[in-house]
Amino acid sequence: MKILENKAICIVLALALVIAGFIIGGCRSLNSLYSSKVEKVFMTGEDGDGICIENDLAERETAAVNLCTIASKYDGTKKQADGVREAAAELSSASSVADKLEANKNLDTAVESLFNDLLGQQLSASDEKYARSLYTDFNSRNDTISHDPYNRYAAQYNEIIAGFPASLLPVKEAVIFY
Amino acid sequence: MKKILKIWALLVMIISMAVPTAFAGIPEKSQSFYVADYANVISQETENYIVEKNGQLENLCGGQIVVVAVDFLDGMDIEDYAYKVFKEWQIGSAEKNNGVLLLLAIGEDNYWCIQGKGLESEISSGEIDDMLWEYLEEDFASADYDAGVRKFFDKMFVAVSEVYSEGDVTETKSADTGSVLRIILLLIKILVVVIIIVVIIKGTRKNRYDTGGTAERRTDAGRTNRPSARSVIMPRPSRTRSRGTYRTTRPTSGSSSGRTSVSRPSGRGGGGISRGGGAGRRGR
Repeated sequence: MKILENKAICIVLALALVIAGFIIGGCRSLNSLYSSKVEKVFMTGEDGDGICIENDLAERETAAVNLCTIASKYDGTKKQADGVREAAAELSSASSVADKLEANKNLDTAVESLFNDLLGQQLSASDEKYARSLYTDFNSRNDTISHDPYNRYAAQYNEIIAGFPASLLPVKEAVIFY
Repeated sequence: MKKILKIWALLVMIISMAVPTAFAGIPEKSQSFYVADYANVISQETENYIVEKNGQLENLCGGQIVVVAVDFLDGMDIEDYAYKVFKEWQIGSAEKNNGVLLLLAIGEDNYWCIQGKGLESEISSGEIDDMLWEYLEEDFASADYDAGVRKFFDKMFVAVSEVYSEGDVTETKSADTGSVLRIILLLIKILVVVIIIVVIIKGTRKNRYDTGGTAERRTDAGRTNRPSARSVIMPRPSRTRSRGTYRTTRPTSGSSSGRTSVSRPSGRGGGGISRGGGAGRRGR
């Protein structure tokens, strides 16, 4: 091809290939780092033992749904219970960490509203005991999430991608979960 | 030159004293480790009791139940404070992560209890909340902190023991310890009397044999026909015999150190970790 006989064009093409290689290779490498280190900790735990944020979120969903079961016995809480079920379903179907974070916050708001409503009802002694226990479990999971090593890994990853030359690449930051 | 060195040494000393510890505001571990009463609300008797019971628990499963009483939390959230204490002190065994921390903030009228990672599924935060409500809250509200701590500790001790015991572990109140000891002493006395009687009988028989008898019994065959002295004097306990209220005084089969039945607490953290969570005072 005659065009390739032009030295300037060849230099430009070579540079373009190098840059493309850098971008593609760099992005793949960082995405692989994210999946293998950061996301894995979120989904399966630092030791791969299943003690992780994903599990904590599942436990929160369960506690929320069980709270709805108690609420279903009392007429004045139907609206809030529906709101909780909706938020739990949204959390269950969320796929990315960012979506899960958002859905988790929505579930927080919905459950708090339902719990406060329940306390305003004439609950039986056992229902009150169950409701308080479930609410405590629900909230304590947020505590464990805040201490989960995932956030440390996410912060480290963000430090890496903020440094040169990774900062030149179009790579998304890891979401800090709370 | 010497003057300069002295000044430097003094400066270094002053600076090192001013340097904060890893977690600002976290209290130092107490000498006993299991009770750190910086608010002076727990009696010596209760403290000794908690230390003794922790010895039993450590022998059973490496678990530790630590009680910390402080006046204030230095502006920290009680959950965070409890988490940091747990992390710094490494409560419970490193292998099972089965520690429990009860934190009382007397000046802030608050308390929090947090469990180790290995107990999360066995003793949930909801269950801890129920226990706190039932065994601590009333006494805490009436400022009888010592009584509340004692009751809650007993309940938590049973709860943790049950996680690792094979059989039933029943709750005992501190008053029952005395009656158990009395029964044991009585059994020992009976055993001593039995031993004396058997020795006397054997002595009598020996005298009878020595005055006449066949040579047969002196052969190996004869000997084996005689009951072994050991099995008469020290009958082997049956495996089905009741073990008493707590199995914690016996070393478990998994114990590698061959500990005796005397409970000696380690007096230090076992390396356990917690992920946070737990439960605290309601209506905060």
